[in-house]
Amino acid sequence: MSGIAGGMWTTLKHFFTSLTNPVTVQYPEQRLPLSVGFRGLPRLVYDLKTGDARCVACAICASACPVGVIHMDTHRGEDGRKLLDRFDIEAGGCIYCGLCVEACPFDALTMTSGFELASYNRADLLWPKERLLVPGTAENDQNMHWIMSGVEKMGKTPPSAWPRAAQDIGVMDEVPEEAIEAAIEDAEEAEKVPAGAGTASE
Amino acid sequence: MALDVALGGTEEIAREDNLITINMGPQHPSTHGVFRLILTLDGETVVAARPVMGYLHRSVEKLSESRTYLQDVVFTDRLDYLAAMTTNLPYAMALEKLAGIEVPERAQYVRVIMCELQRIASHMVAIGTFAADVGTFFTPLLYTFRERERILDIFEMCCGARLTLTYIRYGGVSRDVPEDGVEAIQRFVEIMPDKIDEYERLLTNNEIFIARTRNVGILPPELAIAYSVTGPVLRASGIPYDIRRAEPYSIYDRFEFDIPVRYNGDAYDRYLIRVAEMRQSVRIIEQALRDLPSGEIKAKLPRLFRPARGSAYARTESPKGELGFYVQADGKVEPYRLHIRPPSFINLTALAPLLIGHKVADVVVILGSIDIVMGEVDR
Repeated sequence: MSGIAGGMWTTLKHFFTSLTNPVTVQYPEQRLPLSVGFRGLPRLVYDLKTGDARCVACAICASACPVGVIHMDTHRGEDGRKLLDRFDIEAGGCIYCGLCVEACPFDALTMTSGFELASYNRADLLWPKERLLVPGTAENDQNMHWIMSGVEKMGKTPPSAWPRAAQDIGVMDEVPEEAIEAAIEDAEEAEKVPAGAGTASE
Repeated sequence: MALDVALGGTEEIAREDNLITINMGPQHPSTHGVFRLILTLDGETVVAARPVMGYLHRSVEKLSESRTYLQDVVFTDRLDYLAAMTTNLPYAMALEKLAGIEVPERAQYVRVIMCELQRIASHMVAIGTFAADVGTFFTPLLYTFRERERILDIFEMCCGARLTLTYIRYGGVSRDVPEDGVEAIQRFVEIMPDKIDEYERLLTNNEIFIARTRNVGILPPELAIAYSVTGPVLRASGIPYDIRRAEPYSIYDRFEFDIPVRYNGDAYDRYLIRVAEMRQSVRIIEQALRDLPSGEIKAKLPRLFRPARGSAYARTESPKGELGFYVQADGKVEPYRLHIRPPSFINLTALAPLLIGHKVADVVVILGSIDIVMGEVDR
């Protein structure tokens, strides 16, 4: 009986300590804080000063996604650079791996703390571009850079190659022409990656 | 004749002998996943057993042939979903062997810490659910899960996720361990020995627990070797084989730890081995934290990993047994073939002979003591 008695004494002690010091948290009234770099839903980042998304429609994220839940439509504008028509992420299919955030050379994707994403109909699980946009605050950028901290950077693209839209308004520093050309070339290169993953159409 | 019935023999034979064939079906709270066991019973005693696997088959090996090596890392998380770190590791090691990549020192130490933390977490689930199967309902399960939450919080600090980690990659690890992560691991290591004592106080000397698990499902050592059983199940049958000692990989040869062995081979011994392994893992983590160097956490690699033609097999000691990844590359960005040697699957082939002669209630205990995860059985 002594083994059973020892076990019962342990649980009895816990009965009293849990009254004042419980181990559990009364979710959803109380929530535990999440760490920096928590992998929630990927979101598109827009630059705080200009309000434009940092995304340059290179579709590297779409080809990096292992399950192909990023859907993009792009077309080439008159000056030859790509423009983003549609950017959807299927929140119902996303596996929250963060490979898209790691792949983006323009710091345009981050992962936020959103994981309570249930909805009452399937259509709501498809997050279009407008719903995905979050501001490029210090906190969101910190999350993103922590997620990307171990990743090999794209060969020729400088990490701070802001999109041309920001230059046109005149609030960003001039981005060298070669950097943008190089980024577009790298994107073509990356598109040759097999499409078991994402879709990108022009 | 009993075997005929188990393999789907005619109903007349069953009625003549009074044998019943039932499904311990794929939906069952105690089969540790979607696992089907066709049992032929004489009253309550098992006369024949036939396992049917494949209900969780997701064709991971085929899917990985059309994805890049980096994208395949997410598949490895989802094989043994309760031990993602130790499943990421052999895949990374196979690729490093294939391409001759050298992993930096800090990354090696971080890998060992994470894998041992994962071993503790996996054994916590194993012991907790085993105790739940035996009939202690939820109490030991929630006690072990309380500490497992600490481990999952550590993982969340390091890689952003709790279960499907995608942390150990070829070349190193994906992100560095932050300062508060190291502190959390240190605190965890300090409290853990007392907590393991608490789990033992609940279970190890409990007369009812011993009555239900002692001499149940005895696996003789010759049978264990014949069925290629590995891991805690093998060591409970008296064979002191642990890949971390037999064929040390990563930097396990630098650490001092014991390999627990027991000689009875029953379910009780398998439980005791897992508890002892948790204690040894705490020892390894202490030593690794003490010696953790600073430096790079990933080798310098090209953006798109394209190894030359060749093949490599890497095997590690996962919490369930020997886990191996065989990768065949042919110079493209995706592997030509990826094959996984899952410990749970191989250990499960030894299940049928263990069950014969036991009662139905013991079937649940024996299955729980082998500790399977259907994600890696079916892939």
